[in-house]
Amino acid sequence: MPSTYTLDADACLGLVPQRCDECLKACEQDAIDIDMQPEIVEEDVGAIILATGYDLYPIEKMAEYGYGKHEDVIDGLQLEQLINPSGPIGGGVRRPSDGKVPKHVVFVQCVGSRDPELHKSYCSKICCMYMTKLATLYKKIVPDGHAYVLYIDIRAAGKDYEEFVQRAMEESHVLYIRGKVSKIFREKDKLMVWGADTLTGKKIEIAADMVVLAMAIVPSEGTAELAKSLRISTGPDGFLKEVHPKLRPVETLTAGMYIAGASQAPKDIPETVAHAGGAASKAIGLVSAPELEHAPTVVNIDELICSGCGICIPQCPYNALKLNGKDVAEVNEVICEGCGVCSAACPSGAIQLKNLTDEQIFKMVEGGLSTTTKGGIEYARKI
Amino acid sequence: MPEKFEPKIIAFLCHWCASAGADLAGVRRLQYPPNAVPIRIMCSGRMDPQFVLEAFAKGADGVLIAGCHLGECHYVSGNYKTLKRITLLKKLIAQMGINPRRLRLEWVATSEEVKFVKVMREFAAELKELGALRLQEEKEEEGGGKYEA
Repeated sequence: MPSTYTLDADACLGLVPQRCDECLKACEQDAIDIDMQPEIVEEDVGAIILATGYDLYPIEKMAEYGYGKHEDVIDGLQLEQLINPSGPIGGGVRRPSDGKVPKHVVFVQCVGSRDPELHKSYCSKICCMYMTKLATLYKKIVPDGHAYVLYIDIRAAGKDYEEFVQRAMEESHVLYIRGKVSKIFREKDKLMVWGADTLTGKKIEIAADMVVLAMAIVPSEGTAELAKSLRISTGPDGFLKEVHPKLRPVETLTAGMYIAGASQAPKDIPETVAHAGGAASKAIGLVSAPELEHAPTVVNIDELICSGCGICIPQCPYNALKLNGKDVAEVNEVICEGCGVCSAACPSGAIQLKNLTDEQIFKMVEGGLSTTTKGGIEYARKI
Repeated sequence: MPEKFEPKIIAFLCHWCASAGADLAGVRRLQYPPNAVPIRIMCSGRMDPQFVLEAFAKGADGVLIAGCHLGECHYVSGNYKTLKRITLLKKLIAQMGINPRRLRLEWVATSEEVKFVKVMREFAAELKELGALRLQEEKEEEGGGKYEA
């Protein structure tokens, strides 16, 4: 949250007929505009960076963990807000149901993550560290409290991360248990946490005052719609897809579109900052280059053959094709990514993908089936 | 039919998923029948039905088309177009007297080298069972259009 004042539209009188305008009089800088309305700003840009971030996996899906039924089962972000000195209780830990200081707090890791059968198969990556941080902070605020972290694995890969987890264990005395929680339910004023210790195979039973869940990270709401309207591909879990996971992690296959941060995959802050910096410099590189570079494998339209039927136009996933005034299709070579979908659809064979023309593929088919040509199946069988 | 019939397969692999999956199968030294000649295309959406017909005409016993899983196309929606085209094409070749089982469409992700190998084995075995494609005879003996796509 940025440290600026915001107007609560529901509470402010300025937004309803009887306005008081007291804040306007008090602000010497004239920084408040009460009549500001949402507006759509149109800009022509050369590059777009998508940094749409993440949302938490809907906690309502974890019925066995009792969220929604028990007020004292919260997610990490809610505890973070409680602990924050500028938060609702000015820093501190109180449980939501009765405001008491919780003496036994269970931190459950991988809630929805690493669960390919029911939820998300991937690791949400940031939870190990923020749960460690929250458990450490809790122990600082409530020194006589007990913090339990139930984890599948501790993945503290990062600069000084492992040392931090070790400090939490050794200096802050946070109890780490390799275990999986099966059920959380209320018993009088306690929350019973049942599970299994996955090292010993024994049953765990903790009577907790508060439970903090590390919810899985999912792409932020609306990412799918945004990706669709910008024509960017997404991966199986809905995260925006990069061109190459190792070598081109900030670019998308749609020219001029870059991705940053958790919109691409779960990332912590240092990684996000680095990723976003990469995306920004790629975007600057694109808009400041004197000439645009593009892979040469784009489609070529033979104007003499094209009949202007327009069948290819809706086929293009990038809107690179259009009918020009002469009633023949025209390709925008900067936008074309060279997939060849239009070429396959063209009834007259006027569209050819450079270096992968129909003729070339026919030759490859012929060569592949040839009994004499090197590379042919029969030929290979002979030797 | 020769005693040991080895089917000839033309495999069209999309650059981003199936081709990479096939590469990984090679890197992992996985074994699969050497009946297929792979042809790499940028997107399975590049599949012009003509390529399949050409392959059958030139003597292929089977044609495999492998692309990214639906929703994971590198070119946003190319594989949906492939799906539509190949579904129709199966009906068409059935009318020509070619068993539509000879044309196979599969989704193989970059990390699915095991699936790629499985598909290759299954397809080769299936084609062995179907025997060599004899365009003219098959049409006459079995009657054009008897296959349901």
